[in-house]
Amino acid sequence: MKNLIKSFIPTIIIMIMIPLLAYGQVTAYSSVDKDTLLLNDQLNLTIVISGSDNISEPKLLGLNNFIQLGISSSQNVQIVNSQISSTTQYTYSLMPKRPGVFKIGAADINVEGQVLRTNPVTVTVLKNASGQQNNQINQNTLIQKNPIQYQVNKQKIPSNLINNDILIDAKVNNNNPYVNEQVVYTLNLYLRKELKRANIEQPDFKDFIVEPLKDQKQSIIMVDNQYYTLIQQSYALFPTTTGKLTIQPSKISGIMVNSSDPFDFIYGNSNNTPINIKSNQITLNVKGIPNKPSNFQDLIGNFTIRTEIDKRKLKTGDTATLRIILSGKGNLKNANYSDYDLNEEMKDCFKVYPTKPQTVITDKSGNISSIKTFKFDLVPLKTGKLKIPVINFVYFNPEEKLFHTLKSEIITLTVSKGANQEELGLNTNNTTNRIDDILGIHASEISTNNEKILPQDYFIYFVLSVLPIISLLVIFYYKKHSDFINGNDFIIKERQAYKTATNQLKKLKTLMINGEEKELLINLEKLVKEYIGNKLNIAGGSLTTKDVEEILKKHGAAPKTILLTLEILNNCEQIRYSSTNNISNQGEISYICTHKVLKLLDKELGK
Amino acid sequence: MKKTKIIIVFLIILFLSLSTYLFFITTSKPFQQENMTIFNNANNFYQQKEYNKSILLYKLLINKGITNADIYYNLANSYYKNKQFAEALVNYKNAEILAPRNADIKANIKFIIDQYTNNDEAIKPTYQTILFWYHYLNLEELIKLTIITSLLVCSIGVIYIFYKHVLTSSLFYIGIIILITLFLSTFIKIYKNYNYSEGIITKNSGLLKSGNNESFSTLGNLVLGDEVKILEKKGNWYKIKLNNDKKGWANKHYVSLIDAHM
Repeated sequence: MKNLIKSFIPTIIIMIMIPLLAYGQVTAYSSVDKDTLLLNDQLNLTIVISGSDNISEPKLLGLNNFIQLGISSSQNVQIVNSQISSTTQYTYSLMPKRPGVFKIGAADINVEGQVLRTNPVTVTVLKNASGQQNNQINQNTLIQKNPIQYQVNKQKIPSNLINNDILIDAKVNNNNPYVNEQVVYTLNLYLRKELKRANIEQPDFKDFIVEPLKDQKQSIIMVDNQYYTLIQQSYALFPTTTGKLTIQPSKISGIMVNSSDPFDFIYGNSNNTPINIKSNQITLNVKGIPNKPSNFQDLIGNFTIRTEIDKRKLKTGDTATLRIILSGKGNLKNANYSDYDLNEEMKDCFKVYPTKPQTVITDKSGNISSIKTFKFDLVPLKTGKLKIPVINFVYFNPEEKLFHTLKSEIITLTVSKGANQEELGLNTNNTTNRIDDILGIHASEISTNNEKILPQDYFIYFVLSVLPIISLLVIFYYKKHSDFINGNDFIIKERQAYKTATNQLKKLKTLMINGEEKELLINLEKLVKEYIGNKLNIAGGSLTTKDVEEILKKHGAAPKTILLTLEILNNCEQIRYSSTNNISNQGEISYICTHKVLKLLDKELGK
Repeated sequence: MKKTKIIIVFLIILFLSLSTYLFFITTSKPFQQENMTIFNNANNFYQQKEYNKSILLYKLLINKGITNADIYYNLANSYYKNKQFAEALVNYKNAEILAPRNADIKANIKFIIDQYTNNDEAIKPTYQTILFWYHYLNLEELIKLTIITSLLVCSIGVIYIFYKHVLTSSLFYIGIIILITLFLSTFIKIYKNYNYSEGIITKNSGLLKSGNNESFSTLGNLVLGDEVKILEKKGNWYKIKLNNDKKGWANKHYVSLIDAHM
């Protein structure tokens, strides 16, 4: 408990002392984040009060010409070397209502009963459309708008800019370049008013290789007492052919906001104009490069070479990494060096393991610069002092109008004996089959003559692959069909009606031969009726002649066939019920007719 | 019914035998002795480091319509030795189409891409492993597989029709899925053969143009060894798509097609 009290006492003393220590000299000052701004810009006014935390909120004076958009505050207490300082900061976001020079920032602050007044700050508000100008600002003065906007050197202002709200102007840094020499094409867009939905259509860089230069630049310039926003975009162009080359104009379209008052839209006062303009056309006279050396690789610019090796003393079996670095102003994409040549030159001394060359293109002060690195891993094959041969690159310097040869440094490696060379497989003369080479040819006999598949072959393949499927479908259909028929007596009877009838007819022939005509006729009548019954799925045995007539008519039998059928039935019926035995030849005639009728009926009822 | 079943089984056996016979007589033709002599001579020239001569002879075989991976592979090797690396790459790629699983071809392609081109080494995507039959079989193999699968699945189908059993039904339905997949794969491969081409920039100093003649604007340089996709053909010009998705027109002179399709 005593310890607890002991530790609490200093804390309580400090707590009591803080306000006493904090109260010292109270100061307050005002500052702005910019002293010159455009009418549409926002201004931050900061009032910092230090020395006391017992203060009232500042009362700002003379803000008639500004709209207060917002306020924020923060407080900070610091203890440094037993000195306590308290700082309160108020930040006001303001927007000017009109152009002019104004004094703002004076504010009354109540600090423990006393009133403190902060210093005023002078700010200049410029009109961003045509209007009054500030005489203190000279022509072509650059105003830094915010940290992401940049410096611009003195511009050559196009003469036709005056009295224009928008202008697009194109320039090149060299109108007479050599083929493949870098030309910087700059597009300048001058804006006096706000441009909405802007769409810049790039020029058609016909006959050029284009590398856009990185950042778009933006700045504010003053021309003839008018303020303009200048937007610049540059491209590095490399002409690909000689002669007169034309760069077509760039085009810009958008909607120009004519009103400068940001609150106009509230009252429906917006007055926008659609804009569609284009830049000037540029013609270059591209010269050819005279007397090109045979090993010239179209490298144009100003380059240097650097040779690096990670070790100069090593043992056989060790690896040294050789780097040849080309760098400078211009495009090095075309620079090439075949490691095959290096292999050939050094095959007795080194195994060469090349890696893919790396090209890095950079944008330095509005020009394209590049770095290309060739990297080779070298494994010495023998001991002693081994020289790495010189590698040459030829380039053309357009400023000097001269060819230059870049030569890599001659490097001598001191190689001592390392692991057993034979074990490493290094001491071999067969350099064509080294590990870093391609695998050898296939020399074994070719057994088949694979020829291109012709459209007719595709047809055969298609048929071959589809036939089994068709067969399967046919079998499937057959199976389903036979299952269906087997499960349905009517269909079987209907299908087999004719067959059954003709079979029975054949059996009745014996009655006809034996002369049992009455019996024959009775059976014939029964046979015809049963046939009709089977064929049409009705009870045939109980049909009368009249029923037969109606049914046959209903099922579309020909009248002749119906007549013939009825005649057979009537005949049979008549004889069946007659007492006389004089029926000679009637049986035979009916038999033949029945055969005919069955045939006709099967045809006609089958339809 | 027993009689019918016997007839069906007999017909299936007959059909299978006939199909197999037709299948093999249409796909396997012996390599003629004359061509073998040319091939051996080309190999001899290669061994004697007379690469120009070996190139001529291998090309002679290809111009005769022979589509053989070994010939393309050896031609590519000859080009490589002749320091024509882009041409070598074209022919290795041709060989790879015909023999997609050949390790030597893959190794030499990797070597050329690593050492001589700006192309990134192709990373084998997962879908290539999943659709292995599509990527590791050439068109002829895929067609053969489809035909054999079709015969097998349909035979299982016939058995399933007459002898319904869990095993036959499972086999049949799995077989149908495999067969549909193979049919689709084959059709896609044939369609791609006829409609999509790839090529390689094989000559220096070519330009990528915005249209199909020299008067159009230049969009960039064609880089030797770059692989391109051929989107359209018009006269002496190809509409191409570079690896960086940039599209434009290139004169045929600068582009060699990978066209060893079967």
